Amino acid sequence: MMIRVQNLHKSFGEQHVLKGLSMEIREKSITCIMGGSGSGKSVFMKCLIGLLKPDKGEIYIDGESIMGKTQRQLQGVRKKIGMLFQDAALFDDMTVMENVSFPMLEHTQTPEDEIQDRVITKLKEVGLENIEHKLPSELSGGMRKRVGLARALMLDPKIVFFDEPTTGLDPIMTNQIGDLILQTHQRYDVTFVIINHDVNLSYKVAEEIVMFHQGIVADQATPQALVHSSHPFIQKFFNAHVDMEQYR
Amino acid sequence: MIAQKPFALFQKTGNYVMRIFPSFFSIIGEIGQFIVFLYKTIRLINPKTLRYGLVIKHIKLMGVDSLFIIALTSVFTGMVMGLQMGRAFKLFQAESLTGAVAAISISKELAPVFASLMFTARVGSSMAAQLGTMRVTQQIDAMKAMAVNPMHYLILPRFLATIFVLPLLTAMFDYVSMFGAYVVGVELLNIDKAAFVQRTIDFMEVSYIVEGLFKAAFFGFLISSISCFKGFHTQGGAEGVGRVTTQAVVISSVCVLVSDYFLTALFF
Repeated sequence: MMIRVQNLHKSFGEQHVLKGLSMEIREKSITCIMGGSGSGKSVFMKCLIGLLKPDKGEIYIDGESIMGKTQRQLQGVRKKIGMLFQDAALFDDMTVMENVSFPMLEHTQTPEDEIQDRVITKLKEVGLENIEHKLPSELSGGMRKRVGLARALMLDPKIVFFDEPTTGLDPIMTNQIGDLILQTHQRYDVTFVIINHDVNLSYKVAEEIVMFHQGIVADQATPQALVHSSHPFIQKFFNAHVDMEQYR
Repeated sequence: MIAQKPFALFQKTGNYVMRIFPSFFSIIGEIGQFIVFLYKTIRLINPKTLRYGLVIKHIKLMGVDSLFIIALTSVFTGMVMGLQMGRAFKLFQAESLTGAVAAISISKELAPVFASLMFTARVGSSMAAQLGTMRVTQQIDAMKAMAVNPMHYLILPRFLATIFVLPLLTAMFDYVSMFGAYVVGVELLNIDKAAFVQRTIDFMEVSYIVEGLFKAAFFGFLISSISCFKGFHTQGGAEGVGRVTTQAVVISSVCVLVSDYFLTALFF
């Protein structure tokens, strides 16, 4: 297992967000984590990359426990992880080239011209060309996400987290991002963990879906199996999506 | 925020006490958080790992950004000093002392304080707003997720650059404002040029300038640490960025004025 979580708890004051969450994610799989707003998806992801410290429980990344580690010790684990944030979280004052080369400049001694070539290659892989000298403010939402993905892939991570990769995008762009996720996964063959609300995207890309409800895992199954789940929340969640066929 | 081991006990105690006396202890809690922030920043100072390129970049940005506004403030401060002192000393037929008194008050007090206040408005606010925006748009989280310590990358270079650049701007303030005082005193109030210069040389001491520069470095330390602290801990989206920017400027300005009194009373 690439990620193993046992009995994870996290509270903010009186608010108990994660209430004993346990789950496992297979190596080299694409897993979508879904759930209603406030179900603890983002908090869970922040716990996995060490941005939040859980109150209780165990987290194993690639067989290594991250609980009780200092920020310095966590840096080794973080190098195995690439992360695409919701709005890409590109550095405003850096060009696309500087943004994408940032992790390599920080963590390797690779010569600058080699890094630049690698950036151009990574950008091509995510479908972008000749934008190296643009600033993030000059890019569209979809382009920003692609640049964010190129940056996340720079250090060849073992796991890539996607935080709501299609939020704020139109349906065509959402579909393209879905294709991009599949192509990238095929090319790199690493573990993808995608947090999202989008049922269509999840059914398009996921090998397994984990449903969160009220701070615990309501169900974890393949997309095909999950449709037949007897859990009332999951039934409600999927029924809430409009079936376009009835309008045709 | 992840609790570091040495601070975990303090954090737990603080959280418990704050639950009992929320409003009063929130201020004390913030001061405690500020001290921890300061300690963590200072602990990162290591000549071997320091990002010299970033420090120089910030020195350039801060210096160039503030040059015009500080030159403008300083020339008019000097001119006002020349005018007021010249008029006052004329009553005692002691106009020649205008330059000396202006030079002493500028170098000891006005230059470090005025330069720091202008610097707070120009650079402190921009530091708080920039870091605040980075916080609310998850850029700081992204940096952490890429295994880069944001305190080391974002805070320390700004902190050191401010401490270095503010005394330089204060030195410029000294010279430009003295030029302003000279122009008004000699050219406008017709004070004898030789007497103006000679009296200034007689009464001025290098230690007055050094004292002002030392104060400026201390004010730089205050401004950068307060502005970075406020920006780094921004919450609440765009509204939060606006709020911390205002707080950074107000708190830094008040701290500069209050600490100026205590520095003068205790050391100078």
